[in-house]
Amino acid sequence: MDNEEVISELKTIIKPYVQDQKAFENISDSTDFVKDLKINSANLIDIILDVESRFNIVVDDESIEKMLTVGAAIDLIKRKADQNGRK
Amino acid sequence: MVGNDIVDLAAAEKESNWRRSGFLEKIFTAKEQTYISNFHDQHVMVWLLWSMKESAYKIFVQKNFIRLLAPLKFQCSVSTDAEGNFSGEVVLDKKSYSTFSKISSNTISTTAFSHKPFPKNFITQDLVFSKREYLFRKNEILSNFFSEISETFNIPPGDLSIKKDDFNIPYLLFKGEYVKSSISFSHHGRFGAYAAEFL
Repeated sequence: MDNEEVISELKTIIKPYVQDQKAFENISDSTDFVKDLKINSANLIDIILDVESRFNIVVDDESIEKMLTVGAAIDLIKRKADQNGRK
Repeated sequence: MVGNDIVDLAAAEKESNWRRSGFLEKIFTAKEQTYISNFHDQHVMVWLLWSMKESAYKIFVQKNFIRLLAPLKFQCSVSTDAEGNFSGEVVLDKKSYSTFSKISSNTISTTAFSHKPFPKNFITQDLVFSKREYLFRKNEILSNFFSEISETFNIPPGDLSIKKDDFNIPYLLFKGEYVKSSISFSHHGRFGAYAAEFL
């Protein structure tokens, strides 16, 4: 799965939880889920569950810890998807 | 130090489905899941525990300047008193935070402190909003907070301001100078709350 695909899928996942639409329009790797998109922190758990089922990966607790930005989420998804691909 | 969190129970019902597969396991330890399954109102217990973790986390960030998403690491114990108030302990890496929570039919409001006994010089206040837009709520909380501080210390509210750092930690300023305090804000749905401790 290439970068563009991951980004567009991730955007579809996070859109319903975003409270700052302007920040969402200007989304980039450094966009912070809580600080910029104003996503309610409980919904971050929903995003992780959505990511897990959409990309067919398991996000372990240690990886979750750092999932604060869009870029971090993309890296994580690509890493986990690669691991899946190699299995 | 102080951290707080308010949950609008109706908004939580709409926005988060904690009954979805895998949700509780990502947030709550086995002990916490037992609290939930044994409590007469599971929705309330889910969000009580969440607000405890969230308010303790807000102190954790102020102390350590680290942001992380690790709800499982903040481990809660809950107790009730005769009046039905909930108090609790949240433990993370041997550090313990003390919490108290007010539960109404509409909200759960939790305040956490980094030490016990609870300090005397703190204020907390819950608010109801007429609109639920993010910016509206944020401004309402600030103006209510400033007017309480202004009345308490007999200073003009216009001399007060808030600054947030890169970790999203809020600081209270008086005439542009940092006030020795720890402050915390929370808003969700139709409700909001602030907490402050003067050091």
